[in-house]
Amino acid sequence: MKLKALRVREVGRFSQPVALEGFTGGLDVFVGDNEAGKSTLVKALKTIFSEKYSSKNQKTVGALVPYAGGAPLIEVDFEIAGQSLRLTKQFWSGTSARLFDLTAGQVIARNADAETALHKFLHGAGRGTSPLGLFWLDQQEPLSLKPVDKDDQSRLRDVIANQFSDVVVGGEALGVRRVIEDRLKLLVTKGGLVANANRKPLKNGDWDARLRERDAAQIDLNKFEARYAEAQERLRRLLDIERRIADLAAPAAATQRTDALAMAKKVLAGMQGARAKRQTAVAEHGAKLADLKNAETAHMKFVSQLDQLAKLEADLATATEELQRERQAAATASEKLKLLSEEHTSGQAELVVTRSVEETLRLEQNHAGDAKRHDEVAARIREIDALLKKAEQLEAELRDNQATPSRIVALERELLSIDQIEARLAAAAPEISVAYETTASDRVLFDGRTLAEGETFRIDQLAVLMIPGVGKISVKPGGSDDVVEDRRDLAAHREVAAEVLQKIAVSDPDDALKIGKLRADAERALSDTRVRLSALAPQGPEVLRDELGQLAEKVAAYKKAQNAVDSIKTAVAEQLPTLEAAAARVRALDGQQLDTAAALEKIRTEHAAAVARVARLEARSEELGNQQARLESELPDTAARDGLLQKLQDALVAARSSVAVADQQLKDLDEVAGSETTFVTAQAIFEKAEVQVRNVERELEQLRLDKKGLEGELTVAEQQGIGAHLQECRERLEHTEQRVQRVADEVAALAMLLDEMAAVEQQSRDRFLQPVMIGLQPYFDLVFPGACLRFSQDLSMAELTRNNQVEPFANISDGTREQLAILVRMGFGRVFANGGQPLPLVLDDPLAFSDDSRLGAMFQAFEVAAKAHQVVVLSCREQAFEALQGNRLTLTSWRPDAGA
Amino acid sequence: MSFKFLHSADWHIGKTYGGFDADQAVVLRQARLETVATLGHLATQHDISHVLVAGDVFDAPGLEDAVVRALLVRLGQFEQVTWHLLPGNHDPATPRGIWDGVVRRGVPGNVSLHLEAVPTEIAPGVMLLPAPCLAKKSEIDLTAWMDTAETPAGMIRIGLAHGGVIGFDTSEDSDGGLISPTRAQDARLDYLALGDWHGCKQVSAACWYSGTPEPDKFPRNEPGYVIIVEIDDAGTAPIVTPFTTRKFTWQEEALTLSSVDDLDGIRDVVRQLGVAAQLHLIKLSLSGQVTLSDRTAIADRIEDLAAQVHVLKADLKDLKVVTTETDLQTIGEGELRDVADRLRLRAEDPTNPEARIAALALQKLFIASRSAGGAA
Repeated sequence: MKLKALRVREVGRFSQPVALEGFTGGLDVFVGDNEAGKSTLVKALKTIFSEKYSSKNQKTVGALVPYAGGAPLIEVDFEIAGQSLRLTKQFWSGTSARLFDLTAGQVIARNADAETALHKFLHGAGRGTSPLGLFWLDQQEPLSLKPVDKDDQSRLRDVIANQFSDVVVGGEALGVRRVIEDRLKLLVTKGGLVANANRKPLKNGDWDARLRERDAAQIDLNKFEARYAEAQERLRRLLDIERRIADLAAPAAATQRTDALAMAKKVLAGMQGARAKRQTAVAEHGAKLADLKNAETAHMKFVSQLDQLAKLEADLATATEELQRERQAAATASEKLKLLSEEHTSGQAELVVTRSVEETLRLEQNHAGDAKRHDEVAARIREIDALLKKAEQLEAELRDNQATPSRIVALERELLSIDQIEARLAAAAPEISVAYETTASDRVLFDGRTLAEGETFRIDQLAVLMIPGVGKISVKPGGSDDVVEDRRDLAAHREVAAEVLQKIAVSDPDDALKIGKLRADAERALSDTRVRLSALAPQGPEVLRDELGQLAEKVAAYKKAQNAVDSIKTAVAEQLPTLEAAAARVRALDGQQLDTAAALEKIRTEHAAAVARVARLEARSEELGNQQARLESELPDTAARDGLLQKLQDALVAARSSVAVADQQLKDLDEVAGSETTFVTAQAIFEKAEVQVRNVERELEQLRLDKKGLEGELTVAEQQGIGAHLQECRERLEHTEQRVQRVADEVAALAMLLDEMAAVEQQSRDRFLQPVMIGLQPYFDLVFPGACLRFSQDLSMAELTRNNQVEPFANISDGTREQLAILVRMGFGRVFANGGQPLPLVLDDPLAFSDDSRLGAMFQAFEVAAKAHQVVVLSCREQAFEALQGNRLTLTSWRPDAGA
Repeated sequence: MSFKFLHSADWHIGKTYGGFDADQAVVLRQARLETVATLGHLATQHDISHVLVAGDVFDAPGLEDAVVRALLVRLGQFEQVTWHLLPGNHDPATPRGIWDGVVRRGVPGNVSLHLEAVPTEIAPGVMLLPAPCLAKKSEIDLTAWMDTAETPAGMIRIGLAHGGVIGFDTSEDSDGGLISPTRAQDARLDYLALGDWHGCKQVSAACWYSGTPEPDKFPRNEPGYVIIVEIDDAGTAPIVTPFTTRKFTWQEEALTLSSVDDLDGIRDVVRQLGVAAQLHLIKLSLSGQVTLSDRTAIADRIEDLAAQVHVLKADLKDLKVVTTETDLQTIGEGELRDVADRLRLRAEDPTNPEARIAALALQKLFIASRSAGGAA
């Protein structure tokens, strides 16, 4: 679409008809002073395209009516879809509309038909609002194009959603989303209608109602469960009470209680009476017991004396017999003792003799070995003595010889060093050689002597050669550091060598070495001697000498006893022919003597014991005799003893009978009176029975009261049908939970659907914004090179990235925001143009906040944009916009009736 | 001597039907009370003086006083009939239980409560041997005592009990039963009237479950009957005649669908019922595989059916939905198609825990796209 001309009459300040003619369809610029009516012209342009001729809209049409009154007439020439059209609308009064084909020169339609035809031209068969809205930028309007401005957002969204629906965004999707949202609106809160939001039930909505229904069912169930449990508990308590009442009030139980009380009372009274009688009976019983005790004592004493006497007589007889036996035993033991003593003595004498024979034979047997060993040891001691003497001599030699191996080694080391240093110094010393001419032989003198022909020598100090008749020649050896150091070292080594020689006590090193060799030889000889000594006497010579002494004694002893031995050997040659026979006999005799000694000891012990027993029995017999005599003196005559015993027995029987009678009486009373514990227990039983009867009465009274109360409560519960309600509540809860689940599933499904649609829409927007960004790029290259604009989800401008800095749109300066707003529109314009639907961009007083440099860049952008679609700029800033190229429009008068 | 009586059981008066909407539940509760009149009229028509109710007269031990009173009033209205009521496992004769309340409140003269296992001569020459449940759950065969219960020679012996017969109910939720299947023979019973099994079913020649007169759940058996029993004389075989008594028909259908057309059968059935459909409760268990388009149509069809019957419960969890290219084309192009493709991927991903929700979302998209398209 391209605007070609605009004409107005009775529009705003234009009471008279005026026109802007000669639009090129590219960059058309109208510069006029303030109050020149630029905004009015823009409004007229917007109105003729957006308002029907019959509109009475005060904000749009009404705002165009001049203060002085009138009816706005607006006419616009434009090209669209290859046609040149003229649209004329008379607003407010005498309204009319006409769409005229300028090419064909004929009216296309009038009034309502004209509006319909216009709509078709502008929007084709598509739906939605006019995209033209995007391309009117009123004075200052760009500033209001904030990312959060709802009007602008809505405008952009509409343009994208509607105008591009056929291209990228499915228009049907909006309808579907509305259907989903409409349903979701009945279920969730407003916040839940946004994609990926947290959905909460809408108060009083379907979901909320189901949840409340479910919650109410749960509350009812809880309530009835509690009441049911309460009723069950009451029922249990009531049944317990009834059982208890039945138990307590049962006739058998009541009789048992009263019988128990009467019995306890009777038992207690009987015990109390018996206890009174018992005191007297106890005293009588005590007296009879005393009588019995006396009778028992007298009887027991007499019987005891008789028994004692009989026992003494028996003991005495036994002791006499035993004494007799023991005396016989002692005599037998004494005889045995004598015999054994004699046997032991004779055996001992034979043993002494036999041992003597054994020793003699053993002495003879050992003598040959001892003699041989004696000779060996004596020879070895002689060699040892000779070696000890030699060792002593060698040690003396070594003590006198100071050439120890360490000194010899030190000396050899120093001598070697001296030789080496001297060799070096000699090599470094100047060498003087003498060679005379024939006529000058022996003329050179050195150190007072004549040097011979061919003599050669080295010097280590200043040397003066004297040539008589000629003069002196001084030769001085060089003084290098090495020579000095060598000399110092040489002196030191010589000093050390001298010290060593002094310690060895010689002056010549060769002598020292010779002495050292002698010392080494002596040390080796001493070592050999010691080795031999050690071999001859490993334990030392003294041990050998001791052994030799002992052997000598043995040999001497044998020699001394040799005659006695021979005589003994002859004497016992038959009985004890060998040492072994003698030893065997000694062992046999030893054994016999041991046995005899043991037997002797045993018989001695037995004899002593028999003697002791005899003594004891004699004493015992005497004691028993004495006791018998004493007891006989205390007792009556033997004839009177039986009579006295019978009398005492009769008295005892009578006393016992009397006590038995008293015992029975007391026992009878005890049975009735009972023990103290029994009596206390009887008292307790009586009191307990009394308390039990009273308690049962009280408990029954209380139980009956409780029963009545519980019965009342249970009746109420029963009438309320708690059990049935409980069942109903359970079923209702299950039912409502199913209903909740259904709605929850629906919410989840709708939410998922909404979220998926949002995701897909986002993808669509991304796809859609791609050509927008491409369309925007040429303008950014001119005005904000290298910058990048990002759109937010609602298609508003979100942020600008420049020099790697991200600037939120709200933080950007007014001038930049205005420039961005215009550039974004030009970006959209390029997209439309590329799609074959170029639309004019009309800017009313733009770039009010732009500096000169940015202004120039924006002018270039306008010029670039104008190549794709028409750009109409209206400005009051003539000087500032002087640089802007393009077609300059001028306001001219117009004769409405002059047109076609 | 001939004796004719009516055998019923499992009235479950006071059942709440909490799993239904409140308005549906009220009607179902009322229908159970109306059963008394149905049975009373049936007894009158057949000149029957005794109705034996084999347990579970009440649905729960604790019912509202008004419910109990309503039953007793209705029983009292049929003066010519003696109602023999036996406690079952739902209304056991526990101490201070519901029957104590009934006794305390007082019962009409034509109501006979059998709360103890004591033989009772209910008519000349007819001895009733009741086996009331004394607890919610019993561990023994309560009818065992009947074997040794002595009755005068020549008298008709009728057993009345509530519970499962051993080996009768083989379903998973059955406890296997405790009543001996030969009890009628062992106890020399001319008839053993049983309750607990809600369907009308013969156990042996002289032993029957009457079933509940008014169904109360989608059945696995055949509820909605009472039995008229006629015994000519002691030792003769009973003549048993079941009668339908139900008001509501509970119908459970398991259908395997491949398209919405597979629901035509049930649609036609309901259509033919006309207004009587209002006395039907239908539970549809749908399985199979249908397209998204058909799934939407099925939902519409179910809504239509629900409007015609008293209750319609549909279980679609086993109905698999496949999204065809046609479905996707129906949803639309561009963004909508993208959304549909994304949801389809999520729905068909077996590892996705939200697959079920994604499938539902896809259906919502399908419906919404049609709706939006229609609006446009």
